[in-house]
Amino acid sequence: MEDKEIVSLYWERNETALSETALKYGNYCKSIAKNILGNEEDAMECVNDTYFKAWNSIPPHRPKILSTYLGKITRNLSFDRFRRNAAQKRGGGELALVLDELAECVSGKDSTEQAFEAKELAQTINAFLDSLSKEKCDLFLCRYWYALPIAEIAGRFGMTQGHVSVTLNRLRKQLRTYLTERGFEP
Amino acid sequence: MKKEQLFDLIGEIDERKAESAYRAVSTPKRTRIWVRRGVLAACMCLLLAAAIPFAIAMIPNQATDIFREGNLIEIKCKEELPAVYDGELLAFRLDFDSYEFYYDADGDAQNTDDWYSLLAHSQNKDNAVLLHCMFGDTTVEDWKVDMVFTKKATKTETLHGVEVQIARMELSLQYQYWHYAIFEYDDVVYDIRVRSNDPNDIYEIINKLLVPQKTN
Repeated sequence: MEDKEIVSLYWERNETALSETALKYGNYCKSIAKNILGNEEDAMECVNDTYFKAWNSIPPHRPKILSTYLGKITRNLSFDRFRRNAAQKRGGGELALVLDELAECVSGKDSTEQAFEAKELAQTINAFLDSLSKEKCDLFLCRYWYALPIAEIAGRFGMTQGHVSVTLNRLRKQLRTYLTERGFEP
Repeated sequence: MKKEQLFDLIGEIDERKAESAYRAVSTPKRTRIWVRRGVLAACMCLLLAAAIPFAIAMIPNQATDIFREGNLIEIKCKEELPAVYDGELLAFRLDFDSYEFYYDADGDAQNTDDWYSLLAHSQNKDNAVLLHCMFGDTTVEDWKVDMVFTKKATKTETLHGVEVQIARMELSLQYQYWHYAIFEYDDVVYDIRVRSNDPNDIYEIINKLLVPQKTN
């Protein structure tokens, strides 16, 4: 079924929307959740919560790209779950490594003022991604949006793991320089 | 900013980019290296057929078993890692078979004048090593600032007559620490990162790189 039709089912409050979503995007959402959480059971709960949240948010929303809309919900829910698990010192999928890599881009300081800059920062990160080649942009997002393991990225892109690690290392450095040059203290 | 905030912000980027990345990995490209090499081989055959004398003249200057990806070029054998600096490139002192090596330049892998940097990477289940040797105008001071900015625990030590700045960053769940070291030797800036729980591991790498200057 086409995405537009699935979204229409949500708008009509037709529960078939949920089964169609599960059929088309169940594995996609599950892979995001599993990369982040590293745990099948937690991942499945997040995927089910994703359907529930999509049901409650469409309408009023009418997502242009249903896959990313669902993926983003899964990512956020899984990240929340990851934080709860981390606080209880349990679990931990690929995201622990992903976060440790991202730590190289930031100062680690927290400030209230920075919260107001969030939207502007997201736009700047967008601009940074625009400045990259498509392949590097995809590589960056596979790791830092989808939390894919380096071995899997290497396999998918036909690169060695070392090459992926080195490229990501450079992209992180570039991102930090990019943010600093634009007045953000990362 | 905290790393968790950055991860959140990356989630807020243009949805089309995230979708595009998803599509890129939905279509496996496992054969790409071999396809690229196949195309390269076909081109070489055509060139040879068209201009054998020229091709023969050119072949000795070509690095035959390397591929390019952006500006990173993989070094596949020791012969492509020329000996320079005091008769020996410091990265060459590492066990070649345990690492993947790349050089960063638009030029000839065997001409070190064309090099901008050399990278060595090694990874196994429990730890990882990333060594970045920077040539040219990069100074150790630039990198020290970078290191102090992001890492919490730093100290400076003199090891084998070379001033080495060492830093440590605590990680989240699976591993305890990344250890960092930066120093300058023979006009090359070395940036070493070791993901390991044992602080001795980074000293082992530093020793491999610096001790031969005393024994030679």
